Amino acid sequence: MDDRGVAPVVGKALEAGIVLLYVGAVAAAMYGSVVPDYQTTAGDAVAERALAAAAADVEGAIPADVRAATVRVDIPLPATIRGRAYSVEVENRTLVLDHPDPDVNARVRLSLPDSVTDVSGNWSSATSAVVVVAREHGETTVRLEAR
Amino acid sequence: MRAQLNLPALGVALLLVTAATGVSLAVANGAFAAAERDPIADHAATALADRLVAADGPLAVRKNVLGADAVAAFDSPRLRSLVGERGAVVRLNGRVVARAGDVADPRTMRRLVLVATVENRTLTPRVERGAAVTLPRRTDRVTVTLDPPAGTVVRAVRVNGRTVLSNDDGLRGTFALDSSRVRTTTVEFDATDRLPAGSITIEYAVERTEKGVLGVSVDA
Amino acid sequence: MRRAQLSLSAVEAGVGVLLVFAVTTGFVLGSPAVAGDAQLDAYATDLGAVLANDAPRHGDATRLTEVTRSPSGFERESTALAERINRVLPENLMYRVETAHGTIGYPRPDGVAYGVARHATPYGTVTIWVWYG
Repeated sequence: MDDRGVAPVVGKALEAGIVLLYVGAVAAAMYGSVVPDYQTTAGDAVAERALAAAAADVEGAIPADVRAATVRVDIPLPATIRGRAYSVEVENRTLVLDHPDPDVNARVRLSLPDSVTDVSGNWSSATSAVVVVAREHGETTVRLEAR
Repeated sequence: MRAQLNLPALGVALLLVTAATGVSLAVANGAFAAAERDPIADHAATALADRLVAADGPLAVRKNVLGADAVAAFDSPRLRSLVGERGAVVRLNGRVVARAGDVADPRTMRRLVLVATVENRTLTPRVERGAAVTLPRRTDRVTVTLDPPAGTVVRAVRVNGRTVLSNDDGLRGTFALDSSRVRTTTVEFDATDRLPAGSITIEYAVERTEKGVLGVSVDA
Repeated sequence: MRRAQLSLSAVEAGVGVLLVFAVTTGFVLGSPAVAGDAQLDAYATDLGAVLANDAPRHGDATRLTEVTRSPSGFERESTALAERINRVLPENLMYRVETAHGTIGYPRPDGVAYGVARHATPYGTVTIWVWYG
């Protein structure tokens, strides 16, 4: 009976302690390297999809055969990507998503008819986004505005 | 002697769990890669296809109806100006219409279209007083050349019941008139006497359409 | 008594591995959304636009207008409409066209991705479904 090294309870406690240490170490390793990478990649994918959908909505907002019209379309954008706010700018008829994380970005070229003369404005994820298309005097302008 | 503080077994167990976690991470990577789409390339293909098929597009005569000569004249610089920097190729019924750059990983969008060729036909009818000429095919544009003989005056011309030309002193010359593509067109002449063959020439444009599939591929 | 003890660590390890694989299965079974709906929707919209170009055998402005105008209009034009759709639509696609006065085409199967478009005429709406089949 005296050959026992340690009492069983203490042995189990030691094992439990080792396992907890191990789990803690693995969790720390994952949160240090693997998880942020996954979050960034997922954030990039979300940014691309959101911007592509927004671009399709903007293109769909252009009215067809009317001489004069004003169209306002609400554009749903996610409130945050990867937990942070972002903005959408216009650069040369291309929507550009601006995010504080340098690995999260997206650019979508807008495919607009030749009658569209100007595309301007920007969206911020903090406010509801709307696109205003105004056609008058033969000119069609597209503006990204906050609601 | 009971097993106690079974460290080797614990070590093996932890190793097993680590291996399982590693496999799980690999599977997660694979699943993510499989689910990865390129929504921006898909959008580029869809938007280019929409543009080409739209009524105000560079190829279209009407919505989903492409003009045969516009399609023949569509070239690489024009495609490049529509699509930006990506590689793209546009096909009609499988044959390439225009190509800009290389398309290594194609995202394709197909649209059903009609390809319209316009044929001009001419009628030189003899019109009795008060009679109307019914055009055998639908058209949206009619060109009427009036050359009535001496002593006969054409006072008015009506298309589908609507007066489009009117001059009490007499009409003479060539006039382009609008008509409706969705109705049969009748042209009436309000003249003082019957008009013999040759005094009226009616030219009208008939559209012949063929079905087609427009394929738009962009490089991802 | 010399019974072999079931090594508790082995059981614990087994449970741990099972839990991890349960999470893994979540990754494997989570299937991404069916792509290609945009293409089918485009086919359906295009079919409406192309049919709207056709002159009917009798009467009204286009075949689609005639088919929505009245039950007798539908009777007269529906066969010609079906033939026209068969010529225009690519071979691998099936269709269903529904108007207030009747339906032509095939019954819609369940669980299959399909595209839908609605085309307005002065007398009513024509709904077109298209799917691969």
